[in-house]
Amino acid sequence: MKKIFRTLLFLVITALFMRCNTNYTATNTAVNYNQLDSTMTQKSRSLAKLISPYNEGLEAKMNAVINTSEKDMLKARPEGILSNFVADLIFEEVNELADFTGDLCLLNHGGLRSSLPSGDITVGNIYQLMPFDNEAVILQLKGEKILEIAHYLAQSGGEPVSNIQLNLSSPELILVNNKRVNTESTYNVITSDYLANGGDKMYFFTNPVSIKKTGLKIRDLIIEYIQEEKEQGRTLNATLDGRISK
Amino acid sequence: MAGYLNNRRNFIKNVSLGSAALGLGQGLITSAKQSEELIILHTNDVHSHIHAFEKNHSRYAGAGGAIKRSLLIDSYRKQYKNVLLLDAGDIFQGTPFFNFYGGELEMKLMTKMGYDAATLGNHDFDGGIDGLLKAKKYGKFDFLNANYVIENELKNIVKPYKIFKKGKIKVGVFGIGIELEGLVDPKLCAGIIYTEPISKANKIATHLKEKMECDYVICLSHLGLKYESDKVSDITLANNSEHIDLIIGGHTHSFLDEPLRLKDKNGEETLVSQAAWAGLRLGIVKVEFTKELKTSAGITTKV
Repeated sequence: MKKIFRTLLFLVITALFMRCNTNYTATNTAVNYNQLDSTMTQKSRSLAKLISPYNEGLEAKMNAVINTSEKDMLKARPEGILSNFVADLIFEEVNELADFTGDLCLLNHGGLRSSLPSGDITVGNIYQLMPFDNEAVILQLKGEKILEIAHYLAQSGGEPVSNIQLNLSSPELILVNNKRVNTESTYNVITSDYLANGGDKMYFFTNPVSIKKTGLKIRDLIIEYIQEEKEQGRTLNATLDGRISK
Repeated sequence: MAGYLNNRRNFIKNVSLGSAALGLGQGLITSAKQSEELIILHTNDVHSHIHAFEKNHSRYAGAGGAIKRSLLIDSYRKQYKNVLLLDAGDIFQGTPFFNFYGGELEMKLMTKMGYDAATLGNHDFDGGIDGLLKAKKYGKFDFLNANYVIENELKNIVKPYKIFKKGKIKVGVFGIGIELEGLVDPKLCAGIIYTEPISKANKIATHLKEKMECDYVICLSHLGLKYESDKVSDITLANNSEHIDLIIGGHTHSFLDEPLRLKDKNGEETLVSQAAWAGLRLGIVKVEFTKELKTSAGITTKV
């Protein structure tokens, strides 16, 4: 009897021990990607109900047409119609609104998140183009930093710029206000707070001589400019002008 | 291999004897079934895309959207018992829903869809630490990150890893984030210190596999798939890792035809997957598990 009991106990302990020492091993892995394309048309009432209060108001605001564009505007390097359009309008608007004279404007290619279509331009298009809540700032920089900007542009292949002329193969010959850069002078650069704080590794913006915040959001400036153009009876028709060449 | 088969045979014999003799039900009898299946569904870089793309969109007309994603997720849950739903970061930023509501709706929708965990992408800091904390109140899932040292309130809502029991499978999931310098305005991520990801990932993965006895280890990464420079990526992580079975990536918005099957530093396979962006795709990883004996040593314990 004692022997049977021992045997049973042995079996139980063995089984428990074995159980602790077993595990599952992945033996086969298959991966695929489900495309959520327009052929899926089923509805979900519960989700629609969750979304709808957020959607109300937002949709009307976003669908408002603020002007018409004569052509598709795309960002590009070394320069693009959209890149020029945005940099020029920020340069112009900040100079007008901030009661300050900027010498040039530098934004970032990566910060333009969507193209603008030809035809109607809506507020929603501008939110897609500039979803970030970045603010325009004016940095006073020494001339040598402007040369660093030129080298940065040569490296990256081009960013949205205004009021400069640059051949990427000879960055030291950059023109600002149609003049060669004087390393003894200082320059006022209009950019975004994101870039001023080291975004996209634009380290020439760190430790400026001075920094002035404008309190103006880049996206708001774009919307305002486009609306003003409409009020003046002008459609949008930006062009390439060779400001950055290879 | 022969050893493995022998062990397995002994194991089955022992178990059936023990169970038969004692009428033990739990666990031992069911081990006659030697396999289990796990479905891992994954997204990344959804970027506040609540709606499908507009019907006149040049590339993605009518594609994506939370409703399609939710229905697809539900269909997998109906079909399979063990489903894990994960996101690899950049949940926020990209549509006015984020600008106006700060991520609240994104969190509610992910909760409704039953996300188990997500990692933090650089754009998840776009509303600042306060914005993220505020939005997260509506998200009933965990944020995972193991390589940011967090010196602010965010530490209350971010864990390095989490272990999920799905059926008989123990899955360890941890998160790895990208270097924030140059990507995020420093004032928006004050108190988040990035640390080198590979050694951290290996430490956590080893802990999960060896100490916590996870059957499968997943790294949710926002490092990006690959770079031309020597910047650390999912590929460099995979090649230098150990104990990671699957890396679910993001940041680079990569459309893959199939996952990358790479060798880790011990020559074991590590899968790297990524599902485009904006909710255009749902990644589906189906893993089949087989029960196996780790060791039979020690059975001769005297009683």
